[in-house]
Amino acid sequence: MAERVPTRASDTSDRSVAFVRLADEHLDKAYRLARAILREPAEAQDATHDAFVQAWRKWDTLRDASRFEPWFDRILVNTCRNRLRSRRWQATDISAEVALVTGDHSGTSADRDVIGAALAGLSPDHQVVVALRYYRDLTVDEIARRLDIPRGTVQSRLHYALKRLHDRIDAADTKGTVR
Amino acid sequence: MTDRELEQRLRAWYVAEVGGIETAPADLRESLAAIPATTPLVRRPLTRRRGLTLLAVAAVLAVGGALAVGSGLVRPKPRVTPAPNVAVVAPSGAPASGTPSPTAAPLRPGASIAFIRTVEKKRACFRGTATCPTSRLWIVGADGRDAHELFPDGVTNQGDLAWSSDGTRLLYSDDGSMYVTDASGSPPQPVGTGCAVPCTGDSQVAFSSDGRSIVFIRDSSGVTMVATMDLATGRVAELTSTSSDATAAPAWSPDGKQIVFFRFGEKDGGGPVPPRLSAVWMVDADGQNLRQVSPMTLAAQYPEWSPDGARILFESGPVTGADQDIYAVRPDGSDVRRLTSDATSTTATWAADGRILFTRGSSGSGSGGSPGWWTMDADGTNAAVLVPVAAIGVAAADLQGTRPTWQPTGGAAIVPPPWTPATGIAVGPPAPTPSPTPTPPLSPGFGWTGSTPSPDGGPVGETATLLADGRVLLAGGCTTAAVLYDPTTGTFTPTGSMTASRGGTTATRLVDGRVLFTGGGDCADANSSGIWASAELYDPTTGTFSLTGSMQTPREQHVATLLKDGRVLITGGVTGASPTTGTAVSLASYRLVETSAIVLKSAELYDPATGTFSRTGSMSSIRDQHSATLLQDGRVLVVGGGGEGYASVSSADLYDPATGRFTKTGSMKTGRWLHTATLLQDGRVLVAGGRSPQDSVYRSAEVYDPATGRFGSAGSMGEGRQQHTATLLADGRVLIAGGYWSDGQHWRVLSSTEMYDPRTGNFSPIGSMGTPRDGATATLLDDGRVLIAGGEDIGNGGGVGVASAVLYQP
Repeated sequence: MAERVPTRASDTSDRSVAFVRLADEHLDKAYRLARAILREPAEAQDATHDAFVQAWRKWDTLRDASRFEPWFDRILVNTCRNRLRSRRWQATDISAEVALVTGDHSGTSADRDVIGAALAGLSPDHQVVVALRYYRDLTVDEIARRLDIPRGTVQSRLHYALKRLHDRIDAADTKGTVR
Repeated sequence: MTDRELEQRLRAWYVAEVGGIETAPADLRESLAAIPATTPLVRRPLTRRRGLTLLAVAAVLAVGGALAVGSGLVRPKPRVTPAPNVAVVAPSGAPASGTPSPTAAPLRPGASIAFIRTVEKKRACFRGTATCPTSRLWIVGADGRDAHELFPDGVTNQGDLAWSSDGTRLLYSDDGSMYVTDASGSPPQPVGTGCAVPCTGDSQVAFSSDGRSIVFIRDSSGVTMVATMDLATGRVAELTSTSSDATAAPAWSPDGKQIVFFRFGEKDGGGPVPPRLSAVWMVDADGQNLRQVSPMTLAAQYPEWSPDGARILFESGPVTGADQDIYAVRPDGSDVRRLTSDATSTTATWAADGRILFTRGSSGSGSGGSPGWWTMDADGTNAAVLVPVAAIGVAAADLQGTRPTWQPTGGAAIVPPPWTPATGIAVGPPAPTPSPTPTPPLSPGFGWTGSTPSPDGGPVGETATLLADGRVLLAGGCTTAAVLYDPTTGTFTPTGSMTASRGGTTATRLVDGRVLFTGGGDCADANSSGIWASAELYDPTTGTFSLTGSMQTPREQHVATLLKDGRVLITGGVTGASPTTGTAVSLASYRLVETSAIVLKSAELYDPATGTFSRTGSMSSIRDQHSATLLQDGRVLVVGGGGEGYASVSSADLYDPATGRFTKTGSMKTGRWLHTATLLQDGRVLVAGGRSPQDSVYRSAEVYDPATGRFGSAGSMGEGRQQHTATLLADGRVLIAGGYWSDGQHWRVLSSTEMYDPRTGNFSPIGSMGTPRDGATATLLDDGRVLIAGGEDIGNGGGVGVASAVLYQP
């Protein structure tokens, strides 16, 4: 059980300088990761800010400043995941996007819509591992360490997510080609 | 679309969406400096020995609290901040639209309703304005007056409200941490629940009716589960049977004997890709007797038990195209009743007087009336508006998010905080292996024969090898555990442990009876990685594994084939970069960077006489997850596999042990990987199923004739299959079992089996083996039966190991 106790001014000052310096160094990367997971700029901004607030509140748990990035990444990813969860569970119907697809999915906006919708149809946990894998290019082991989950769970979540994406995007491509 | 293409499209999507963003918004950067000045630090929890008295904890908190008050860090007494527009409960005059709505009787005097209101807070929220929306905890009096924010100085998101049954305490969450306060906004105390690694977070807490326990959701080891804590003793029980990737919103039964919650379906395989539907589930407080209460078709969420224990309320979920309404069901799952029909009614809770408090939106298709908080009787009658949306201060579309919770009165007093949690202990059975679709009965010829559990509860045996004494060794995969199956007793028993976990390894019985395991990926836990070059031998006489020489190249997803001279041919597979410096290297491992993994065309030979590997010729193509079959003349037929860009390979090579060279032979009509290749009694090789270059799964089969060096058609299986098994029976037929099927729009793991008869050249179905599985093992026993064990089904979170095993009697 954590207690809220006052902190000495000088103590806090030293910490705050260190915190702001590290936060500033990692801000861009953090914001981009939040964008990759949440997709919406405003949500990503808020999530990034909230994650830094959380990081400051938990500052005492960071023992080694050189470990800031993985430590903070964990906070940020959890913040993003909670935001995805708070959107409530949505089953995504991508039939509307399907109608836009012409069969050429080489980077068109329609293709982006299809992939974005397919990603949105994944559960929050699956969205997170896909973003870490294909945006951050982290290995399975790195993802496992960032999320504090077993490697096998990462693999199974990626496995499931890719199958899910495969089926949804294939369906969109197929129908789009017919049209 | 191949897997590689999918990955490319995903990466391109992220580049398009995010790659162009070089820097974060300037106002976001500017806000960082203000965080330390405006956010109190939370000190690292003190490590306490279990057993410290509550008195000691109380003393710490008392001192801390006094200091905190002195420093001004505690939240001040709530200010009464009127909600915008109207601060009265009952509307006067006509409702917002449509038919005037009846007005409910006012709430019981003295009670309050806690709710969540999204408000614009003055904080840097980076939208180019000085404010941004946050979820805030609000209270409104029973008479509809004095609506105010409980902690106006907060900056974070709050939610998950739950009253104690006596109404004296209110639980809530604040940015992932849980707190307890009361209707007057007393300084919140953190609610510790002993979450420690592997626990990554506790949330969604609620009191029991007797005030002696809380129930919450624990996120641990990648799954979410229901957990309880006895407030007097601190005993934390993790109800492992409730584990899933989306278990949520637990609530006690009034007698404290059961807990309801909701979670999503175990699997959505088969049929057009459906939404994941949720249902209300129930479990005994000791973790036993897990059962589903509501039908999956209603996508039920947020269950609430009635005070008399007779009914459970829930709301139907936001499934595409479906309406949201409130339902009630008896705890035994009978008598499901729809209480509302306006399609916008949600967030139902029980009020202290037995009525139901709920939110009703404005866009319903039914006879909803005006939006706001409503009440109705337990049977759904006498619905009446209680608080109009204007008085709540949110948009009608946001009503559902308010989740109003009526403060009860007269319930049992709670164990007063602070509460000291103990380390969580798992209680009840483990979560059952998901099998959401009705398990088909075993067809004639199949029979269950135990299971292959490992010490950690998962299945054992990525490979299965028939030993000389008739037993079967199951080993390999992401565990070092190994088991022996004895056909005479039908039981699995542990044997020695492998020296390392090896996913994607090979197992080959040598002439002397030992079993050679080569390479594989180290996947035992989150900290392991890399692909082994090492190999080890299992000695059936001692029941132990020991290292032998190492391969020249680390490999996984390769193939090992016993040659007639007793040596073992190793072909293809996936390898990677050289070792990472500074990483502890045990055995003969190489630490690999996953993204640099490459598929091999090289091959090696293992000589049991010397215990060493040596290079031999190379194949005509890179291959992994291919097949390599010893022909009757001693040569080895290498077929298909994954090639460049994950495109499957149609070519085939013949390896001649006498020359150590691979030469191309006839090609298949199409590329295949994840197929099976079976040497028939007439010397031909049956190649069945697999995945195509276009990522469809084949029904077709081809047969290779060594006499002509050509492949010919061998008909089609009843279902497309990859990662299935194919076993040559004593009578010359081939048993095909399980596998994974997809046509790009649908997918499922198969429990079906079929038989190939080389005399007729036809496949014919022979029924179900009971459990869907792909990547299983199938071993022909000395008595002619076939042991089918292990494999994987697909659950919510991906692959789920199948521990059960079946025997097939031809």
